[in-house]
Amino acid sequence: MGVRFLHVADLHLGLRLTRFDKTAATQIAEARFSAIDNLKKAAIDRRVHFLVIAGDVFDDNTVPAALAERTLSVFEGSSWPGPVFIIPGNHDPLTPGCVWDRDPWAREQPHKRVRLLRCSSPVSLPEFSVTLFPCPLRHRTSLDDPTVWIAGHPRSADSDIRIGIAHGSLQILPQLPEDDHLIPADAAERLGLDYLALGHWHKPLRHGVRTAYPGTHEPMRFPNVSVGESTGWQAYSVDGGDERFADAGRGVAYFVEIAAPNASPRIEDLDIGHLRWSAEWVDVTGRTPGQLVKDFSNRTDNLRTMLRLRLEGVLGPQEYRRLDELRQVIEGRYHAGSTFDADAVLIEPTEDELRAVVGNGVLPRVLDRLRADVATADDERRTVATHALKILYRLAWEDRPA
Amino acid sequence: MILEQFEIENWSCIRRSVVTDLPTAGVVVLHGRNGTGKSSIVAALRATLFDYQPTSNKAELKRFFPNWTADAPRVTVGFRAGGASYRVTKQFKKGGDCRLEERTAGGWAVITKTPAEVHDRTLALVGNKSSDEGLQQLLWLQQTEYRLPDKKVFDVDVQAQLRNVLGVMQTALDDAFIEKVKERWKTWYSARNQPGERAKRTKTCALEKDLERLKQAETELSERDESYRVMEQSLERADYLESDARRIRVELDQLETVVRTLRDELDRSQARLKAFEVAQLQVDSAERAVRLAKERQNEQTSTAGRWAEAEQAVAAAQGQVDLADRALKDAEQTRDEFREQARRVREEARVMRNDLGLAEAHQLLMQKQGALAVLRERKLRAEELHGELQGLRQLDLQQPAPPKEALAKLAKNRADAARLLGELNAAAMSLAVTTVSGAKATLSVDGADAVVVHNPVRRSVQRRAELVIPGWGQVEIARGSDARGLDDIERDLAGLDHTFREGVAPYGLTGREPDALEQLRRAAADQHIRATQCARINDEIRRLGAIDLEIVRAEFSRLDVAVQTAVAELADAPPITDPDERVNSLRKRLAELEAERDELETAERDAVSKIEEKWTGYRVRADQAQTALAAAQATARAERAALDRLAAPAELAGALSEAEQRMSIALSSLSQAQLSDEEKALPERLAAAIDGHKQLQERLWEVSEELHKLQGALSKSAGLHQSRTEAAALVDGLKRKTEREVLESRAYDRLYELFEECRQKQLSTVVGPITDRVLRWMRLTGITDYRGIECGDNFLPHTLTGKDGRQSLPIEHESTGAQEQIALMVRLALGSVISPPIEAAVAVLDDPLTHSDPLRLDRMRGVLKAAAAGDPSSTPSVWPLQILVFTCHPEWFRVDAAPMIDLGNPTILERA
Repeated sequence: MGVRFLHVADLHLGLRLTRFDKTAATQIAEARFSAIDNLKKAAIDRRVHFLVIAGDVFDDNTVPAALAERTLSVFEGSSWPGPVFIIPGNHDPLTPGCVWDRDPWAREQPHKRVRLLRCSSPVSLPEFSVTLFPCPLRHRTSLDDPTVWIAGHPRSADSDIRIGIAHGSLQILPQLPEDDHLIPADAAERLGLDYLALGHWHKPLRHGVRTAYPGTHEPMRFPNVSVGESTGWQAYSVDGGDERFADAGRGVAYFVEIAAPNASPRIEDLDIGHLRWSAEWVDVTGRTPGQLVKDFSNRTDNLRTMLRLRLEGVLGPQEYRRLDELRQVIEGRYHAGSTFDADAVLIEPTEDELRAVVGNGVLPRVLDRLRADVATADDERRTVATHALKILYRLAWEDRPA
Repeated sequence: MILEQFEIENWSCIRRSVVTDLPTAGVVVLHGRNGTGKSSIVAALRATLFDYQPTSNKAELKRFFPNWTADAPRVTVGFRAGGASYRVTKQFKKGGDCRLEERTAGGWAVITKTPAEVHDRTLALVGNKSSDEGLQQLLWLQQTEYRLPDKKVFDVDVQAQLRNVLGVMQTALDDAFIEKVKERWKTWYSARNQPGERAKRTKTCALEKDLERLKQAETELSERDESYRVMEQSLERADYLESDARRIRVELDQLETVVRTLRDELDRSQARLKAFEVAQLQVDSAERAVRLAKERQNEQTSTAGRWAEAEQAVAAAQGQVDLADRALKDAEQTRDEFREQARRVREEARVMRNDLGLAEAHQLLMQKQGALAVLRERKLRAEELHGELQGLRQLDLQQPAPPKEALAKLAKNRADAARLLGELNAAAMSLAVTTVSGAKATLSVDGADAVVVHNPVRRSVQRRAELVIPGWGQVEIARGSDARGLDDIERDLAGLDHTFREGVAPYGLTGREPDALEQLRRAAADQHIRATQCARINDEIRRLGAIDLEIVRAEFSRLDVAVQTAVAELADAPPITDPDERVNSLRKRLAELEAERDELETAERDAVSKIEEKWTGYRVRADQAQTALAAAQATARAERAALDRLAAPAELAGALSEAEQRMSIALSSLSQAQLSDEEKALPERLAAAIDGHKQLQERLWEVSEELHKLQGALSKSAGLHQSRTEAAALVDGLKRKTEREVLESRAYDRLYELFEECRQKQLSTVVGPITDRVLRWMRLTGITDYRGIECGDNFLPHTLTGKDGRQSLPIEHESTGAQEQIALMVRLALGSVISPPIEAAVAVLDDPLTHSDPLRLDRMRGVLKAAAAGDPSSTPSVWPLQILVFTCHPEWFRVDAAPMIDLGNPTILERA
């Protein structure tokens, strides 16, 4: 008899987001719960036997009690009738006073569906002919390999399907921090596991046939944007800004099916994310704002897209003014928190345009001085001048002769 | 336009005024006293050329209508415009003479006579502006108009003309732009700073409030981060504690094993331990037996010793009693010896005092005899001195002499008498009388009878002479004054002689002796010598104490009797050769004896006191010795009885030997049952292990307790993550907002700053030629405090820049005179650049520069001259002006060969 389950990780509920206004931040937080609903729907659709959450259910051990309560309720709810196996990750490790030791997680043991795997010891699931090997973390950082204890429970001829659940960095990248709960690259094979369900890294990644990170279940950062600057989220690893904590911009769960012990697992990506996050740079040189407005207006599912749009390139003053229309599209039709940044767009009017907007009085002199400032090596002066130049074009354009 | 001529009739106070052939350029001075009608001429020109239809009924016009004639005012003005000459005539009434003419080769050709057309066409020729608009606004100055035109009413067409000539300063685009910039700029700022300095935002602007909120939010975030850091430290501590607890548990397990092992070993050693304990009991019993035997033996020995000691104590007590008795007797003997010695000394002293009394009697007698001899000599001397004194006093009585003061008076008397006598003797005059032949006179001298003289005669006159000349009269000559004549002198002299005689009479003189005064002086000298001698004798008598001679004599008699009595008393006493020495030696010895006696008596008192004290002590000691003796005897008896009760020494030695044998046997058994050191240490080791186990358990309990506390504290940290996130979000949001707005505010400030800078530069480029010219003229007139003039967008200057370039001063802050001069310069400078090149513009200055002092006025002539001359070669071109100056001070405006038109000349101006 084979087994089917969904593997997710890094839910980061109670996520730290500081670069959004309150409305956007609330909606982003809510989206993470919507994604869990999607997860449960997928579980039902795929008729899986159980769910596995490989660490970091919470963004921190000090999340509010109400969030902890809601989280337990979500997994205990009847919409998904199967068991949910959870291990603590490096963001919510089993430290004294941790979220797992507080109500409701400590109060309502044993739970109906949720099984928090607090011990590094095999958990036999005879109804599924499966043995789980959970590797809960007790510290944010550790020099120890969390899976090492599994070696004490080698595979035997009559073993069930062996599934390891761990949270840490697989040693497949160079220069990983030594204390980032490092897991040998061949851990699954060496420990005789049919599947090693990992959490910690935020992008989906499969290593070999038996080891996989599903990434986050719901995006929490803009892909391809340096970590920490985009949303205010902070990883607890010493190199929190590293690429492995970058985000795919979508939420993923792995559907895993293992037909029998020793059989290769079949792994399938499932999009369960509620929002899509996208950071885009667009060079406007040679394009008209009308085109851009049209492009961004006609995209599908805008309201579920968190967009950070940055424009660069060169525009004439007239076109530059029309960028406001694009701003309205981005800020009005996309998900709350979407931003539009045209600071990098340069305005270069033609001589005719210039004459039309600045006339032949004082403004041409002002323009010359600002251009000189823009060419200076003094960063502060240049920044102010660049901005002032745009203001000049805008104001002068508004008052240009008919 | 320039004016060529004018003719005015019936205008205000002017009956008729005609001025012709005005020069086309340069300064023309039209002068006349106050009231001549200068301003009326200007008003007539303004009305005719610019302001009024010929048919106008306006009150402003009507006020110039004459009240001395019913004829309407009529004005003709000849002017040149656009290269042609015209003549306009307006009689201000309906149907009056009215026409516009143009000069032609054949004379004046009428262009129109229609009043309205005349007015409109004339106005068109002179620029279509009223007299206070257009170029006239700059160049036609009324009386008291010493400032520049108000910028609100400054003709925009003139500004446009200036802009055409000078260039554009600030466009409408600029205006709109800077207004918007300013409006936005005021969101953050209230006042501009010095150039180059960044403007300071107002404290109340939203940005500053956001920055303040950002500070608060950062503080709050910092506090929450600190809470989180504390929590993380607690986690580290909890980690450590958990690790420590694990270690302790391991150690506890190890220690429990040790305790179990030790207990097993202890059980195994129990049997040997019991044998050891039995042997130990036997040893203890033997030890007790030996100890008892030895104690008994010791008791017998000590009892015998105590008995012997008691016997010795009896003997010693008896000895003490005897000793006390002996000491008492010795003390009494000593006391008696002292008493005897004292008695002997007192006897010796008594004998000595007798001897001393005798010696002192001899000594006293000798002293009295000495004193008697001295007294005798004193008495004799005193008697001698008293004799001498008596003699001197007798002489004083026999040879009296006046006292010093009386003698001085007498001497003064004689001196005064001599002076008066001298006066009297020196008073004789010589009187000579010479008669002519046959003449006779009667002469009376000094009271003598009258004498008839008829020959020359000479007489000595003492006091008075009378000469009677018959037929002629009487001549009387008298000496002395009326108040004091010779009679007075003689009376005074007689008085003095009388006083002198009375003064010398007591001294045996009559006063007639020639040397009476000398005698008195000698007698006074003798008396003085005697007085000195008497004083010396009296001094000696006083020194001898013999003022009363009888007292001295009585004292001598009393002492003589005392000496006789003493000699009689000592008649039987042995003689003493040297009583003084004898008295001294006896006194010395007596003093020694008395000291010895005092010492002995003190010693005796001490001895008695000591004896009494010793006797008392000895008595007590004797009693104590008796008591001790009795006690010692009783003790000795008791110890003897105890000794008799104890066993014999041999019996006691046997018992001890038996006990020691038992002890030896018990020790042998104990030795055999003795535990090894390791066995002995087992209980201690077990106790130590149990103690260590207990300590570890306590430590584990402490660690667990702290861990529980930490867990409790950590479990309360729920929500901290969210509160940190919210605080960080607030900080991030505010940072983004404020950074953006700071950039925005600085960009607007920069725009404002640059605009102002550029505007100033633009302005200085455009109005530079004007301001340069005005500055040159200002320097010419002596206004040298400024190096620049700032103009507004309307080309009118508003501020003067100081020499240092920093200090700016509004023109209104200058003196009225300077304002007037600068304003006129600016008007001329501006007017001359927009004056049409075809012909000069006319400037009409009605009574100008009334606020200027003579020096400035003198310099202003140079300005007027330069303005009138123009400078077409400059950039922009400055055209000549026709400047008509109406003034009552022609001397102020005399420029080179400027025409001077005297309006006081009736042929030029006839007043009504």
